[in-house]
Amino acid sequence: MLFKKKHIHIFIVDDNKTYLLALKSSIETAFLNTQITIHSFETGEACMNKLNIINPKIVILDYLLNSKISEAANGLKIMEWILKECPETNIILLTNEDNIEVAIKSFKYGAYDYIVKNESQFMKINNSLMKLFNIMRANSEVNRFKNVNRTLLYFLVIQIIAIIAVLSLTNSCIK
Amino acid sequence: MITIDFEPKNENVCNLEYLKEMTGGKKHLIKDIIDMFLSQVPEELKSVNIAVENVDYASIKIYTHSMKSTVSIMGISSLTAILRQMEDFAKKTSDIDKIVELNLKLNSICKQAIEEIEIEKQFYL
Repeated sequence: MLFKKKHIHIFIVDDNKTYLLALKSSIETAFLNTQITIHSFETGEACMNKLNIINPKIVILDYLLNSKISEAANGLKIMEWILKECPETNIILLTNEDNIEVAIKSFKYGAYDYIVKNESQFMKINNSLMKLFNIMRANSEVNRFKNVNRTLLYFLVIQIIAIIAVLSLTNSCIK
Repeated sequence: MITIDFEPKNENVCNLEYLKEMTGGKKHLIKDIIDMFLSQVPEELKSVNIAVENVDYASIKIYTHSMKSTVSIMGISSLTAILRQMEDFAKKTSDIDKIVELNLKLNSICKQAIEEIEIEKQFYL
């Protein structure tokens, strides 16, 4: 098999327990054959505590996270913290309304995608994840070929050095 | 002007097709989500009721906003509009009378939704 499957850790951050469970179920159902582990968090602060330990490739982050803890940081703030700690993380920001200001800010801060919570939200999230998995797979293939080329080049150089050495030895023997 | 008309008991308020689709019809997942919903909605409703009683617009806004996510999972579309209106009034910190009126509808529909889901849950045991 050309592409060696890697385990992908995904964080979901939302202060609504029913929504967290439903989204987790939806992703696990849609990507049954993909090696993923989903970690759910009700606050961004809880997610930050596990960020450097688990190092997720993807974080799905709700914008408003203050229904349980009024002083909880919002999604944009959490996104800023995540990208400061782990700049390679792909962040999908979720909001309940089509708020253009939040959308612009999220892309400015470096979000991979921005999805409005409506009737088609789970389908959109899964589509966004599918695109991300394809990009990650392509990047992995490119890196693999780079490594193969590097190894081939290494053996070629060794062979050339060996030939030169043999030729030099032969030359000196003839002399 | 409140424009939402709701006649409870005439027809189902929940549409679980969305839930079945997102879980691929897996019974254990549907049951888990239903259980979570049934434990969360009364708590959320209580929080909204207290906020309305106290005319606490900030809390009304926060809790109605959060509840929209919860009810969307169970396909309770009639509640989405009510919660949105309550949230909009709360944002403007005005029209508490209209919020109270909407809250009565919210409680009535939630009660019916819980009854429907309790019955539906029996199919997933």
